[in-house]
Amino acid sequence: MASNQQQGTQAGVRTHFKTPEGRFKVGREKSHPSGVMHHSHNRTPTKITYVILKEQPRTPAGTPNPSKSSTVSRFLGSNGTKQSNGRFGHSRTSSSGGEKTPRRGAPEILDVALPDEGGEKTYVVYNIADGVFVADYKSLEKEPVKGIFFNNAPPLCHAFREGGTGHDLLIGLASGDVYACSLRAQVADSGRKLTGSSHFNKEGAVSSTRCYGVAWVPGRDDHFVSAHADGNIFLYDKNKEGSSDVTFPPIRDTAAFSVAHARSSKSNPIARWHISGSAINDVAFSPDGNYLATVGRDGCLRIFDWQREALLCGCKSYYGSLLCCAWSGDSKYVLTGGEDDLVSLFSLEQQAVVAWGEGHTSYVSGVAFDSHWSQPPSEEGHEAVTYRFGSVGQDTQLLLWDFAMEEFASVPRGIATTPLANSQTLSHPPTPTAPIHTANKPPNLAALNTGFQPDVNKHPTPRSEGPATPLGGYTPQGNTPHGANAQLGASTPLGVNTPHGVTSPYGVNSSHGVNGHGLAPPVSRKEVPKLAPIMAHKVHAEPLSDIVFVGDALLTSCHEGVVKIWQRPSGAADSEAGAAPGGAATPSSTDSTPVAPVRLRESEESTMSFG
Amino acid sequence: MGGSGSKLEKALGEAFPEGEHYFGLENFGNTCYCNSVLQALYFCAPFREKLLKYAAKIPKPVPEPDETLLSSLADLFSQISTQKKKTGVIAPKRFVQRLKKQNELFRSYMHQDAHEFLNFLLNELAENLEKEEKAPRESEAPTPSTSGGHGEGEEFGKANGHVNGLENGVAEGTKSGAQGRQAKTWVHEIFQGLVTNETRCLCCETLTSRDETFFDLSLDIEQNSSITSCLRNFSSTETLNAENKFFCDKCCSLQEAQKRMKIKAAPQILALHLKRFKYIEQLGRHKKLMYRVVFPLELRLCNTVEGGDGAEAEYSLFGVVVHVGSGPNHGHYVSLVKSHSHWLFFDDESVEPIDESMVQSFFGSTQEYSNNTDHGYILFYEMTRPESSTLPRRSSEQS
Repeated sequence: MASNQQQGTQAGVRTHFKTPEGRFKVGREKSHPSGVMHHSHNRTPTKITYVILKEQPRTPAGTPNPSKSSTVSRFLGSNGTKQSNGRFGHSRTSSSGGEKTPRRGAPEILDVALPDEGGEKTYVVYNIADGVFVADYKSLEKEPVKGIFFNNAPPLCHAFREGGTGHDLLIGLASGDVYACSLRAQVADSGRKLTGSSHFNKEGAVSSTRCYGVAWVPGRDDHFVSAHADGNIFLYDKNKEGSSDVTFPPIRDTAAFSVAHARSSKSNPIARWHISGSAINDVAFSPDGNYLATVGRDGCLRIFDWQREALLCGCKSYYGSLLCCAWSGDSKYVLTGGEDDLVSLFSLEQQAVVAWGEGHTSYVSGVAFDSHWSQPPSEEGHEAVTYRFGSVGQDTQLLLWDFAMEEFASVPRGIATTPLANSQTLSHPPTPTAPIHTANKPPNLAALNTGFQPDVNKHPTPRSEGPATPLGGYTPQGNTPHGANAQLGASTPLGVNTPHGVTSPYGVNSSHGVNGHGLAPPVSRKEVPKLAPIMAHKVHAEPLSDIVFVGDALLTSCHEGVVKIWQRPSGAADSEAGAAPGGAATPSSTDSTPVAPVRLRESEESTMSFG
Repeated sequence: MGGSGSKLEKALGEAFPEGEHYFGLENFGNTCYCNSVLQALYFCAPFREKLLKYAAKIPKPVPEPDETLLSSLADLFSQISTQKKKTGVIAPKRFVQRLKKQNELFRSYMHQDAHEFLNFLLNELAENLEKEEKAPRESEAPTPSTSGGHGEGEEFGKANGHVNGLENGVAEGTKSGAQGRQAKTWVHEIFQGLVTNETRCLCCETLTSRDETFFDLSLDIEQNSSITSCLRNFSSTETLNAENKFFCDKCCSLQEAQKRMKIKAAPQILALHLKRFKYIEQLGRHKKLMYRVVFPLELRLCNTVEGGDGAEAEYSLFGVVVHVGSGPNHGHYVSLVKSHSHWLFFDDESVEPIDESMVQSFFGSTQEYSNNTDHGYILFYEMTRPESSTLPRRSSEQS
């Protein structure tokens, strides 16, 4: 095994994979320019920002060309993704600041500024070592059209505001410095440095710690936040100079959440959100603009009411840091990934973790909902809302998941408890509508499907647990889809089967004194329903760092600085079942029964009952 | 002496913990395997506490004939902890001499394996303690002891090819039940855990289970994986067939069987050994696996028996013994240690503070040929919250 490791790292890497909708294949790759040395020792995770640059960003983003629905639909709130992860925000107001673009009228070079059909141009922005690179999304060229290099510290994160005026690209560095600039101006400029940018947190004015996340505030063209390793989030106005005089009061309790507004109107940052005493690894605004999610070193997901500046709810990882988070397009769910190798799905409505995705064999470094996936029509006509999402990990794997909340809701409480098994997550008897879906189970998962099953099964009947049954004992408050204005701030009376940890974490002070941050203690692994991936493949040779879904593709990146663009299944030719036009999904009708989107982990132990 | 020490004091400044001592250990020619492990043990709070208590009870210096590895280690720890200076270098001369007397393995100046040393040391210390406890009360029923060496768990080895994971820190092959749970000495109390090894005969369905104690777990590793995943693989179900059949007592014959091993009682200090040195048959020698294996700062065991002792206990990483170098027979050992929420880097004589984020630079390499050869080799986790006791066991019964 070891002797062929060298070949092995590349050998298992897929160039295509199948989903129920059809075949995804690597269409294009983007990486660093060939002239640039590969910095093997200064590896920072490569993050991806997908950019749609409108030729004339005058039209409000809410009235897009319907034919381009795949790319603009995120604005409608019906779907949403990683891009909604604060990297794209609403652009309802069109405030001043457009004239900050210095090269706006400059002659445009190369073909890069030539608009595509529909008057827009698409780019991929990604960071590798000390550079931020901009590549033409549609071009087959692997090299970027632009490299922006930073001498002082490597860039760690970036975000783009689609349809924004003036400065629309944010870049956060390991030194804590944050820059705002116009992407258009960068592409038009031939230099190796940022051009016409605004510099914030100069010389660590407010924080000299790593900036792990930047995000545009939805609904405000001029506001953005930067998240730092010292546990602070700063709110800036892009149109004001970054000031160096710190006007924030000292933080009294580093473990407690507090918001401080700048006393001076000249101050930029405008406000400081102290989240906790430890590093914030990722931030994301909900697509509806109401909430801010943060994840960090302390393993906590925190969800804030952005307007009221209040902590709403949150939860803890099973263990270890949380590394990434992303909202669903309807602002109801937050995905997190972290050092417990789990993909967790948090429901805002229930204020609880509703599922754990098990399948990664190392840290989960990127998560995203697929906003462009459309649900296959249900055969029995019940309105199950299904979410498709993806995750990437340091195991070099990409996993795709389907989750249907209705599957959970449709199980009445009580039925769930049978004397058969002693874990409520597994105790629902098999139902005929829930097929055992072995076909999609990747072979390499077999080895992983251990450890989360009850050890003692009184009935030594193999497969008595019915692997694909809906998750029992889990009754959400209502089974009609709620709007984003679900009852927040009040604890949902969900609690019978989730007695600890998962309900109403906010305000429940950890009696164990582990963190004292007012969030729920980590849950017990028995209490959380498990989800198995519909697809798992090794897609890069190096640990993965980010995942982004766009209209026609899925983008992944790795620590080596390679961005892969996985073309979605294009049509019937690619799909076993025949995909609908536009890459829309169809059910995998080869099965006689509908695919149950929520699949219990199929444990090999179910075939082996230890008494 | 102390040149680097004052630097360390300056670096830590106000943050220097009161009453704490950060001392480098002199290298007597390839004794870094020993130094790196000793530093990790010194910063293992329960171990240090017990050993210092022990040190207070014994005469100083212990007369030569009565000297044991235990007494010489106790002496070393108490030397460090009673230094006037906060930092400096100490020569663990007597301890190393004792070690070499005790075990010829460690007598040469060859490069030694830090894990073998740890395992030998813990077994030896436990045995010393047992002897001393027994000595005054000889009337007590003697317990069969197979400790002291590497009782490589023959049955394990035979029955289960890939799970040679249990590096037998087995002090006693208790069959099951209460006896095994009674820790005999404080070394057992701190490090001993219990695995249960379940085998189901596929012919008669009889389940045979056997509990075994351990001081540390040896884990097979894979490229780009996590400790979590290694632990899961450790407990994966294995089918015994073909040449590797199981002798079923009921069937009185070799049968196909399924077996798996789970943790039944989680230890207070969880020592995890990554099997980076692998014997490659084609090469006829051991080879170092450079694999990148990530280890989180907090951990919970995923492969415990439900309802077992500490089934969902939370652990926190406090020590990492790092192997530096590209091969198994040469190289160097250093250690990373967490003390009072600060991380320190110990390299024989030198001690430096490091940032927590540096820990991840010791995960390993994603490529076989890499400049980075500093890889986590033994991980020490301390239990920070013992039980998920707040969680009701049978929540499903409520409805």
